[in-house]
Amino acid sequence: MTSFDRLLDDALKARESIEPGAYFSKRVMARLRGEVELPPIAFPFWRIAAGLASLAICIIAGLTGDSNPAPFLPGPRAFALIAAAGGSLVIAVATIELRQRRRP
Amino acid sequence: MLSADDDDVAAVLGGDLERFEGIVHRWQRPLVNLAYRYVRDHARAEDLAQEAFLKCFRSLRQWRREAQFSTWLFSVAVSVYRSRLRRLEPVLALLDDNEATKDSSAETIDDRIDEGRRAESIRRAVAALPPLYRDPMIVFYFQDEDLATTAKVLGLREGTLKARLHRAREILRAVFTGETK
Repeated sequence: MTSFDRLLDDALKARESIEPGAYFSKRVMARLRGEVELPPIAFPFWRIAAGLASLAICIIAGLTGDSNPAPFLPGPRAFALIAAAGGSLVIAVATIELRQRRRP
Repeated sequence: MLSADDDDVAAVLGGDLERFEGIVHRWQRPLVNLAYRYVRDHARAEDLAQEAFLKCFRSLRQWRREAQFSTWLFSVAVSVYRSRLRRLEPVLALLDDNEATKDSSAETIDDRIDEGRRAESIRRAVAALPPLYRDPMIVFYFQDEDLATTAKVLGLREGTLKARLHRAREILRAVFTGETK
């Protein structure tokens, strides 16, 4: 073991006694109670359904649409991509919201 | 025989929220101390530990009783600390203090700085390591160099853990002494 290894071991083995503040547990419990008192969230069925429908319509539009009739406007495929991204985002947000509000 | 943790977890899962305070009381000191090793700041350590307790509460059903409650709790805490720190600016600034200690030999370090400051520089350098090496170093020493428990907390194989500890030491040696093995 080199002298540096010894230095490292000594520094990291040393017990640092960090005491939580007197109200630490009270603060944790207050936040927890606040979280539990939130009204239960309903399953975001309509948001997920709308997202899925948007995805499906846009995939179909994207696959079957004509080529772009006017170059300065977004063509059906570009539109489909944008809307598909929007649909995915709606689903993702709804899922994250559900996960964050999960309780034991 | 059921431990106090088992009892409290069962009560909380049964709907008695107040019993979670028992868990907080028993584990607040270890969790704040572990967080302090990551951030080297008391207030931020308390914030991180608070987040860890909230995450623990939300995930309580996921605790499989084959692992000790403490092992599971520490693994939840490490994952919270890691993800919170990822959002913050890199802690490379912490390494600035080490510039003064960079030299070609440990003896020169001895001459330059006193023991307390040197130890703090090393701890800060560990906190500033890339997460891949920082977590093993912090948890290994926090768990009194218990390789098996550290591997369980981090969800790593012991061989992988040993390799990361070795690499972390090499990085730190290079930072402090300029030597590479």
